[in-house]
Amino acid sequence: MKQTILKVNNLCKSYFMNKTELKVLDSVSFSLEKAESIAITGPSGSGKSTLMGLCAGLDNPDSGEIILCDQDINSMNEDERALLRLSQTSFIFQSFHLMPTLTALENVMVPLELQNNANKETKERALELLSKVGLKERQHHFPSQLSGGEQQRVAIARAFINQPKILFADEPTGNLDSHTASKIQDLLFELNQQLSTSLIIVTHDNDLAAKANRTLKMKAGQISE
Amino acid sequence: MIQFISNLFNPWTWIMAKREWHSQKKHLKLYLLCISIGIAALVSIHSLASSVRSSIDLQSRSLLGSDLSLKSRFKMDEAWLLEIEKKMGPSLAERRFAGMAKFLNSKQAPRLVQVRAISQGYPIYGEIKTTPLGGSELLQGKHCLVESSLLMQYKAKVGDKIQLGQSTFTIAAQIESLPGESGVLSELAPRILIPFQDIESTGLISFGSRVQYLEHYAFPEDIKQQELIGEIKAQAEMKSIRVETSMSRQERVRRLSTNLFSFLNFSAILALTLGAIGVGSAIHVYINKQLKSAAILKCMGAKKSQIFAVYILQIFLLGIIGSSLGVCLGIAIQLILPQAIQAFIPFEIQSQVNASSIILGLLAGTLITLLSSLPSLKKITLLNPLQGLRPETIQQNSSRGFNFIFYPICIISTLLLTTLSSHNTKTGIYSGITLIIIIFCLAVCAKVFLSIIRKTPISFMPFTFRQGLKNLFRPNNQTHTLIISLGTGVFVIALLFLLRENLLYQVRKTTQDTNPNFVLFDIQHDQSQDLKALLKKAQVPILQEVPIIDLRLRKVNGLEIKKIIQNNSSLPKEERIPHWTLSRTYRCTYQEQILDSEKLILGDFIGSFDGDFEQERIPVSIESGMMEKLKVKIGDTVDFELSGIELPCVITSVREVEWMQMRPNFFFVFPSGPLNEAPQMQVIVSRSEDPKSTNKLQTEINNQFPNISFLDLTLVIQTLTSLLDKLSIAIRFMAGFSILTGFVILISTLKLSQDQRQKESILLKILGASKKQTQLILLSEFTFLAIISTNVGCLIAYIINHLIGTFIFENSPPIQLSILLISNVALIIITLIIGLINSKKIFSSPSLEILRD
Ligand SMILES: Nc1ncnc2c1ncn2[C@@H]1O[C@H](COP(=O)(O)OP(=O)(O)O)[C@@H](O)[C@H]1O
Ligand SMILES: [Mg+2]
Repeated sequence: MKQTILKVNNLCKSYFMNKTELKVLDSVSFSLEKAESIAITGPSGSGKSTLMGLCAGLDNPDSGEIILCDQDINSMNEDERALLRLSQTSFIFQSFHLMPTLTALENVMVPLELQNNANKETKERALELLSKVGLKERQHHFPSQLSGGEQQRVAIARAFINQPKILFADEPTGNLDSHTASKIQDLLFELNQQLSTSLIIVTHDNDLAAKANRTLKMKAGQISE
Repeated sequence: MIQFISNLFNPWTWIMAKREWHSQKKHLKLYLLCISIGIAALVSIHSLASSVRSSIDLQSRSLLGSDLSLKSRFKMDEAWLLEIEKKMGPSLAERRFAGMAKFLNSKQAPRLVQVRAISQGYPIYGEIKTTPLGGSELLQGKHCLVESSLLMQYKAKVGDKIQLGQSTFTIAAQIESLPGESGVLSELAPRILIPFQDIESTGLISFGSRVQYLEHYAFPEDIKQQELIGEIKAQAEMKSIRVETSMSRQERVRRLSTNLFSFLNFSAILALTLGAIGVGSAIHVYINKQLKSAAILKCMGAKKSQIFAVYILQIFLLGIIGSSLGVCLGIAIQLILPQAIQAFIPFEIQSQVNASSIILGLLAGTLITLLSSLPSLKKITLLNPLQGLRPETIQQNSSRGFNFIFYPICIISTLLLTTLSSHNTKTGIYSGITLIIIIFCLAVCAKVFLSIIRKTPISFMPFTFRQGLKNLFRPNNQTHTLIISLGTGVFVIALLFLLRENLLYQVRKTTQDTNPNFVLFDIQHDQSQDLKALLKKAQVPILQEVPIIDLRLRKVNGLEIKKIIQNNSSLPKEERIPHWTLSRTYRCTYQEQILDSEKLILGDFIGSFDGDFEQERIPVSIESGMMEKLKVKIGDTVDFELSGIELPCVITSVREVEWMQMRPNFFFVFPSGPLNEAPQMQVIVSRSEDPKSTNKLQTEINNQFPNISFLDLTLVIQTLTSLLDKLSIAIRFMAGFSILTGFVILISTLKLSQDQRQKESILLKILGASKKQTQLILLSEFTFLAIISTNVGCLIAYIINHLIGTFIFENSPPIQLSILLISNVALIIITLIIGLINSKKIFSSPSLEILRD
């Protein structure tokens, strides 16, 4: 039986710069099943990041509907959304965005700490994930002491620690060399398989896009398969 | 170097500087504030000090009220006075003595006052300011002038009557100021001026009363002043008469104001140093933000010296503008400052703008800005472009070689600054060193605190608190600087309050429990029995009864005093015997036992002597401090004189006196016997149960024995408290500057690290943190900051206060935790408010904008 994790209907979003309207998303619709992976490609500035942000409830759309894990995001307040993010979703960025004040291990543990259910097992889980991404030895290092690829692997470990139903990855390999990039890709899909997490990946990398079940192309705020 | 200078004047440099400046406009305001507050403190104090100095010079003659005054504890030799009169012209006589003033319209008990009987025509220069106007002209026919504090206390007004001794006076006016005297101490023994011819009628001067005899002179036109002054001084010295001239008074007032100002100046420099720390840290963050653009410029081929010029220019302009603002602010403050210190300054201050203060302010501000930006500038020049693109990877530890040069430069310029801004080099250097030590202690203390916190396992705390604490250690943080600057502010304020409490504690201790709370003096021998009967009836115990006899020193170890004074002049300063110990009047007593408040430390105390002192020396006991000053030891001889009779004595014991105890204490104590029949006065020390009975007793004694003075120690404590309050207004004003600077630094650092904090918050939000959690993290960060700063500051304040208590008062004060508590709460609240206002933007930004690359 298929289970829909994310459903987007007629999503519109515009930014206003000096009273001139910039239409970033123009009636975008698509849906994502459980354990399915989607790649979104498209030229820079076509609205990919905006779409991702809206799907994760980080911003409000002008119109349209987003159903994330059977819940309508638009009708939720900030804290309800935060809770939803905490329990069901994860994010990976092009430029990693780790907390500079925390060690690798601590960074991985943050989502569980925020849920207030950090305990001994949490740490073990975090270590397990770190060793899965091959960074167990670097657990006490700070982000500034890690290379870009290493930071991104920590970010991936962080993304999976709360066993999300859906993972948003915005150009996760954009800042990395091709060798590291392919390792990261493998990691993403491996975890996607193991934990049946749905993936939604923005990328310019054709290899990566090919690995996904489906590819959506974005152009000038509109989406096509 | 030349290349650098030519770069400095290159238009490109100016354009680049302007662009970067423009992009940081909002933050620049705060740096300017930091530097200008410090400079304002410095300029206002410096310029006030020179206003005071020039006021002293302008008003020099009226500071004394005459050209030359003689002052003595004894009636002066008539023949000698006549001789002086021949040279100087007639004198105006004055007498000062203690008395109890009773306000006839008031039910309150009488109180101890200083009565001054002055002749018509005094002061010769300047005036006695009164309300209503009139001054000394009003002193005619049983009228008197009264200190305003007295009128206030008794709710009396002009026209009311006062009883002084056996005579009644009508209040003609209230005294506003007396020539050359500050109002501060007047509260302890408020002054009442009466006409000279009315002394007799009060009956307050009789044998044995403590009277000061003064004669005031004006210089005649055609006279060699210096010669005459020298001659009079030489003769007066032999007679133990003090000579004061308008010049020496001017010198004294100048010294007083210098002392006051070296203190205020110290606080100003403290504020300025804090400002420097603030500017340093602000510039550090500022430059860190520009590192990326500097790196990009470098990548594009800009030369080191070109980039350096762009930043030096910005910082230089910052320094100039900041210090100009500070100078303006300082001048404005200078106009209101006199009110804070007028109580201590015995003349009117004419505020004026002073060029040297302005130059000092500009110089100091620019210098400090440049200096404090050196470490950050160094970073720019050493920057390799690749690092610059990822600024967080640049290590903070600066090279050792640089530190070897940088810190000495800092120390030297601090000393230079303190020396330039204070009036004499010694205080300048001392205050500079003290300052460096204080800041150093705070810095070390802050480091220790931080490293302890960093090492403490904190897993027991909720995540939000842990995260808040970890935020203090984010890369490129300014936590250490912030703690130093806030800590210094807290330190100054806390120390101020602690010292005040310490002083009051020391005094209060003396009147607690069974300790005496009033002293009766000027008791005539023949009044003693009746007085004791009265005290017995009132059921107050006599805690101590001591006879007092005034003696003069004649010889030490057989050497005449005159000889010793002569010898003194050929000795190096340390070996001299201080002049005042030789020429003073020694109030001595005789006792069978050693007094309660004293401790025998050497030799044997001999309680009675019935030998013939024409053949055998009288065994006396000396106080330990006086022993050192007179440079004598046990077995040495001293000869006293009592109205013409020689008293040969030998020192047989040494006592230690607790001077803080409010009891009569003596440098020399005689055995009972030789002095028992000599003319003497008595002092009785006693304790009454409560203020009401003290009041009643005071009135009774005053009615029956108008010449006996009653010193109420509770009143002394009250007076001291209000005195300390007055003093602390001036100090608090200055401490306020350092606190203010601390806050500006806090605001600016928070603002500067805002981006980082905002990024972190958004990130947490994306990871699913609720608004409350994000808020809690931020608030706990601020709270930890406040707690660390307060406790670092307080810790050092407590230590210093304790050291002062132990080594100066020889009595360590109890530890007052209330100040610690109050400062913790206050600083946490203030920090939280500042922090919250600062973070408002963090919560109001909804989009991913902040994380955009
Ligand atoms: N906060 C904003 N204000 C104005 N314009 C914005 C904002 N955020 C994004 N945009 C604009 O929306 C368009 C789409 O941006 P984005 O979703 O980041 O594109 P992509 O990720 O596909 O490169 C861009 O043209 C960008 O300039
Ligand atoms: Mg994008």
